[in-house]
Amino acid sequence: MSEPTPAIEGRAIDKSFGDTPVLRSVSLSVMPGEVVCVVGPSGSGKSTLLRCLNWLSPPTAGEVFIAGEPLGKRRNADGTFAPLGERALRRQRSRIGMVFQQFNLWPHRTALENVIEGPMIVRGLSRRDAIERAEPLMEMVGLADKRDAYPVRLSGGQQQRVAIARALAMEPEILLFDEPTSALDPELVGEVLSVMKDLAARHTTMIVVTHEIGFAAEAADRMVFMDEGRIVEEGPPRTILHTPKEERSRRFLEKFMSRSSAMLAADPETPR
Amino acid sequence: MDWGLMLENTPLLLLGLRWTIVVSSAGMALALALAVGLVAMGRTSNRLVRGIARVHTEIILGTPNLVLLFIVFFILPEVGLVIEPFTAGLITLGLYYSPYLAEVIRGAMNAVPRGQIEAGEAIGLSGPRILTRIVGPQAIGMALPPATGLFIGLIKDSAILSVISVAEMTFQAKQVIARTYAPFEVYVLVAVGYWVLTFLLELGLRRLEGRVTRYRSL
Repeated sequence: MSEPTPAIEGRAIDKSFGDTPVLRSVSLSVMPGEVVCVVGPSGSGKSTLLRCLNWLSPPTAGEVFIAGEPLGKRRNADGTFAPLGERALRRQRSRIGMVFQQFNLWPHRTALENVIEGPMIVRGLSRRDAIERAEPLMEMVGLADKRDAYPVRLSGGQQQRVAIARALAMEPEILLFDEPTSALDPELVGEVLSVMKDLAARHTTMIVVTHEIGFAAEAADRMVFMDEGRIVEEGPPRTILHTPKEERSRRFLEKFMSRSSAMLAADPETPR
Repeated sequence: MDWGLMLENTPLLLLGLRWTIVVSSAGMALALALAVGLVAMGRTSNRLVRGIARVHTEIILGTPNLVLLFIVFFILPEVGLVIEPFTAGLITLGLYYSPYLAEVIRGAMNAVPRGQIEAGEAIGLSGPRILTRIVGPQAIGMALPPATGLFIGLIKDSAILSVISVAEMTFQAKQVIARTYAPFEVYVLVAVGYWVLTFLLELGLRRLEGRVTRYRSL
């Protein structure tokens, strides 16, 4: 057993809301430095999977491990699991960064204050140390000059980049992106994707739920196709995009490809 | 209009106004404390505690403030709790306004988007920290306008304390009228007194609201 430990691993995750099953025995493991993009139709359980992976909505059944450590549970001596205390769960959660579709910045805090909140309150850094650490992050997401702006003064793309910096400020071992560009005006999608490509190039461990097939093709090490609460197919983006094995992924991707090529054809500024 | 009479009796009414301010402020403080308690009780998982908060709310909502005042002032002594008129007055005002204020606070807290709370959870903030650093600061700004209306109502309702001889402005007015037989002049003065007081409160709280919601426009 000399297999390296995955940065994050979900094992046989089931999730139901009432009687409605949303995830059916989903297993996904992501190695350190790996970028995994999860694609699939709406309602296929992609976002729910992410929310299970950081315990925002605890799975109905199954386990999540971060760097081999069970999340939200503690392993008893006999190998069974017991629920973990609130404090310990919070500590684990702070190791997983999350970027939301709706940004979810705190509007009563400036961009910089959003970023330093976690380091100060959760990690106990002084304000000055937290700012010192936040500055390069603001630089990285291209918003050093907006640090004192309140979210209401920022565009959606800028807000999402602050949200990425906020997640990075916790120095997480894994970053989860839940459709980070779906709520953005089309012209603002690029600036967010470019930050994410930067992160991918630096071998940040990332799971990205997205409809941006182009981004997935370019940045992902592995693509996962989900449908009806299951992982239908996974593999290198090239394989999934060009020679999908499963009928369902083929149908979904065909629709996507025809739409994006139609978009490309309609947009004279896009170099072909 | 007898201006001389009005001028002559103004100091006495101002003395009453002072007590109106004191008893109303104490009533507001009590209402606020009780309201926060009610909100907290409503958020616990303990059904008994939630039930107590509900019963309190239902009873108060169904009781006229004057009746509540009589219960506090005349019935509590029957069970051995003798209290001063002033104390009875502030307890009545505090009790009467607590469920309304609790509703305002609850609504303001619920108006903070769920996603912001999840963002806090995702970076590892604890429940109390989320309350004090994310929900609280925004809820205050949202609660202030409706709370201002309630506080103004509380000030005006303090007039009913005159029936148990709390020496607030309306009580003083009745004393003056008994002596002078000039209800018109005296009540004009009283009305002006209440109006000035509520106006100043509204002005102050609106300024406060402007300060705590600055982030919405900066």
